[in-house]
Amino acid sequence: MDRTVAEADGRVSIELEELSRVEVTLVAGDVLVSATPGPSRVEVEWLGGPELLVSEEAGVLVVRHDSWPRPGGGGLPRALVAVQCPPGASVQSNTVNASTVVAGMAGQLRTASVSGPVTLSYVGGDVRARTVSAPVEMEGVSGRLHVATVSGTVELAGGCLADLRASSASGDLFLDVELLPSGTCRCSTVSGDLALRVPEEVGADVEACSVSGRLDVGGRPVRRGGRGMYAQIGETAVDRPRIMLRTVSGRMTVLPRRTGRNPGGVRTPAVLA
Amino acid sequence: MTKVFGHGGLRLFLLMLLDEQPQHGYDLIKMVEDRFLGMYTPSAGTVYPRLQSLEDEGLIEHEEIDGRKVYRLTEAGRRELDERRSELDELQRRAVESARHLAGTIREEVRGSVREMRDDLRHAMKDVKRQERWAARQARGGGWDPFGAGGLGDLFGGGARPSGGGPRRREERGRADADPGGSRLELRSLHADLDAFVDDVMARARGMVVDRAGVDRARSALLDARDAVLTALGGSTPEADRPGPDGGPGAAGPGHDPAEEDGPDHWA
Repeated sequence: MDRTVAEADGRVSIELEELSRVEVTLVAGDVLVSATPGPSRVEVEWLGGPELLVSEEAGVLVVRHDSWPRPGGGGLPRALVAVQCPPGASVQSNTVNASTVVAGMAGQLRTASVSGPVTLSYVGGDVRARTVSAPVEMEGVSGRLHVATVSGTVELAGGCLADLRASSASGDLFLDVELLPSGTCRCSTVSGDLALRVPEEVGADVEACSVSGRLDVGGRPVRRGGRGMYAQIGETAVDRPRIMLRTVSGRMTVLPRRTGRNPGGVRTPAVLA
Repeated sequence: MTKVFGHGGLRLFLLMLLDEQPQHGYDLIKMVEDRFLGMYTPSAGTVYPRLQSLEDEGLIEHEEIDGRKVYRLTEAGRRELDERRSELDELQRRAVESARHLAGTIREEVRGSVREMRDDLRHAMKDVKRQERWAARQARGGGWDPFGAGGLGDLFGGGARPSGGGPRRREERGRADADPGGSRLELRSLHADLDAFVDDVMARARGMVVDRAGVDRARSALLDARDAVLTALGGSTPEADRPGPDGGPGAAGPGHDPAEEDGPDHWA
């Protein structure tokens, strides 16, 4: 299936074969990818710039603007692209300024944006998000998560992860998360603050390395030695997850979450339930 | 969500779905829901009467397959659909708008959780800092000691190093360094000492049962202390500006800099 969407088409809604992969490249506007148990579908609304190309072949959906930048302008390429697909499909979204929202997906997920904010709601599997200056806001992420930004804030409210990596230059990292036993979390910033909260009953071994940043581990003793600072949360000694923090001048805080409340365990988002 | 279908809208939408392929009533409901990204689910009580009336008008017909009704479009239904194409496009547009609405809803939901988490964390970080300051003071000998390590003695002896820590204090030190000499540095050190005094008193008071009368006695003691301090600094007649138990800004003592927002009276 190949078609173009331009101004004259207005809004287009296309029902598709079951998708296994979604690739969206957009300059401005909105990208929404949500999981559905029903048939796959894409809705595209052209809002400016060159026409949009929508193609689907063997379960791979590709949506992008045709030939941008192109001489003579044609306005800022702007569009709304909303895709519904099976949760297991892999997703790649590249945007400049467009905001990206992904909900309920459980396969491979890659988002990249310059200044468009990224929102991930109850996604899982293998997740990577990169931005330059835009914030990454997440709730209920499970599996593996890698987030990288230059100056955006990274925020994760709840989730259960085996592998978490977050890095930024000046953006702050706020991560409230449960790490699987023997899971690892590596966070690094240049000047951004790092704040983590992990369940006390799971505990964590904390290692921190910094030029001038301070480390607080919920008032627990911090031992200096070797190549950095060491502290520990929780009593049980088996399979404590490791938290490795690295910053030049950011403040590092790791706090235990006392109640077992994990604000975003693994569940489907209310809006998709 | 706001009303998705205007008058006759759902009817038209059902015709459109049946044009694609014959369906059970239940599947139609599911399909409407899917088209609107789960933002709108018509109830069976909405859909079945409409199917019935469409059938009465001869726009659709049904046949029983395995005891369930499967609806399909008639020729008249197809003509009706063609005549109302433009209205249908409008409905499709609303489906897209519901996509935007969904994106907005998800974003708001996540943003709400994230904000709550961040505030929680910030709060907890402040608690940790407060505990640390208290622990540090305990370790230094259990209280405010202006002439001990890090206190007044150090301030005047070895350059500006106010007791306590924290970013604000560091900032002050920077400013004081930039403007040495005169009464400014001395004023800073007095300020730092008063701050430390407040912290110390508050830390101790937290473990006590404090009542109204106690607070009043403390106020009176503070006023005495203020007068004594100002006298010690070589200043004004204490009795002249005694404002009564609720404190209020004291007289400008010597060296009191009006530009200084939180002068020595800020703890009163």
